[in-house]
Amino acid sequence: MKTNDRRTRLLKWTSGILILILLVVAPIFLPDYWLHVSIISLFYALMASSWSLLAGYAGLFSLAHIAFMGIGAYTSGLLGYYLGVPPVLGIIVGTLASGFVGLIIGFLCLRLKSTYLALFTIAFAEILRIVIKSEHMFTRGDKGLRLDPIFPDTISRVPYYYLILALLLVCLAFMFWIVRSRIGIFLRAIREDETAAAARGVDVVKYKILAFIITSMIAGLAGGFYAHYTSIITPNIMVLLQMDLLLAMAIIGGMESLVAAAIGGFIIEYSLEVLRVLEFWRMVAFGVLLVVTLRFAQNGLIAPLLNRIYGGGPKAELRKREEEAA
Amino acid sequence: MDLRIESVCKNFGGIQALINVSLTIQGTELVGMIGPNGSGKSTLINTIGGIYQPNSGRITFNGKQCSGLKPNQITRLGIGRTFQVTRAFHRMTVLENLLVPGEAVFPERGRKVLEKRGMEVLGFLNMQHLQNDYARNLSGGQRKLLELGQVLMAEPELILLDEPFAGVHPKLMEVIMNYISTLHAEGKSFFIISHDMTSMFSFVKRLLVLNYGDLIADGDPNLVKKDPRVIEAYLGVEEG
Repeated sequence: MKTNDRRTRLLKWTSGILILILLVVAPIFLPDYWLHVSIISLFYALMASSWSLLAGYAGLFSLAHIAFMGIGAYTSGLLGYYLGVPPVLGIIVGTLASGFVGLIIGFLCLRLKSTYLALFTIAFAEILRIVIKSEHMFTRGDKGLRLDPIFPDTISRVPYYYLILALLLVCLAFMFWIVRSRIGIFLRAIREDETAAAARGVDVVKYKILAFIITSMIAGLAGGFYAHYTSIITPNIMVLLQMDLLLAMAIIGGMESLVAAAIGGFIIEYSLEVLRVLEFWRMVAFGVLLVVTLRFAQNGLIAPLLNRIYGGGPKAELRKREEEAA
Repeated sequence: MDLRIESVCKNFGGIQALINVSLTIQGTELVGMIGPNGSGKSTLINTIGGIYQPNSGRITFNGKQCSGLKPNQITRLGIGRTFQVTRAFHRMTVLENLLVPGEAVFPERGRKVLEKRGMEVLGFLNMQHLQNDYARNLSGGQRKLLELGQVLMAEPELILLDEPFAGVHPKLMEVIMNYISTLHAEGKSFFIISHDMTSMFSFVKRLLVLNYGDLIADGDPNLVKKDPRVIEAYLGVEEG
């Protein structure tokens, strides 16, 4: 068993380092267009993994994640547009603003269970989008809000690629820490059974709100980056279709695994670009893939694959599988 | 240990589930409560445990007010409980199930100490070999033991057991009784709710009987057994 553990750990580290090297050297080989696709894919990886922490670990099926991304984007954009606040400071304030709204939404959603939470958060996201669209005198609505770039001295996409890669890695490391800490154990217990978690001493209210704040802040951070990278934002970045896409990414990847959800986000965004020749049929294909995943692989397609390669899941279950295979 | 329940009433709409229930559990006691189905036994445990708030009356534990507190606050006061239908965290391993109350009640101890304590609890329950199994893969009896293990991780002074012998094989029932006796001998107090009269008469030292939310008997099981109101509650009265 010990040899197997050592081999698994070695495999994890080796493949992890190889993937990291590949990601770091990728801009050298990638043409400009595919570098852009990679940046957007990394952005979706960050969004999908943070949503998986909220929905997959804490069981809070919020459909307002894209709205929190919008709050981060618009806060930074409006601060820059009206007050000349520099992008980095704007992104920080946008991240905090998303966290604050996450706190309020978390409070309002405390007593709401799955379906009602989903409906409430859809309503919130749509209200926010329509307000931003309607208040065009302030937000510039569909005309779009222009933003300053984070790196004004260059037109290269490479600094943005490394920035979003760094943000993804730092946020994943932070979320990993959360998942392995007592907060992660409490969130999973709350997902399984709120009443039982409370009876075991867990402050359900506190940890549900905390999950909302943390994931909203990550979405806000991603939104701030996205806004300054694309240099223009419209309320269309918050349409429900975007949330659907995010859901598909996390579900096909594996909602209960941060890395699997991130890989799902990356691969699906990349595939959508690769399959552009198929026009609208690519969306149909992903819709079918989503339905098939939900029916036959409820923890996604990537997560079980990672478990098979790296030996995830409880060891006793693995042992059983090995015994069965033998 | 001092639990005081004073004139507690609990209504659900027009149904009075608990009517002026008063009782005290002091020191190291092994108290049982029986009652026909729907008599309010689980409602009483849920009211003590903070899942329900009483409509009137008050509950104190070691002099501290329990009414108005949330279940997690009551657990931290030193009252642990199990559920009538086991509520283990299915997609978490057995050891993780034990870490939840450990981390919640004793966060200052750190993960390693809590894991060690978890293994001790599993050792006591003879379940060490299941530490990495998902709770969903356990049998019904093993889940009952796991729930008891979760309660023990929080190191409560008083343990409320809601139907611990329901649907359990007679051999496992004996095992659970042995665990309760051992823990009781170590100084833990128990308040056990069951509809199984036979086991309760022989097992507990003090027996209470609840009927339609009304506490109709409290005392030595041998005397309670002969109480006409208890006989009436269970067997009914002949007409005429």
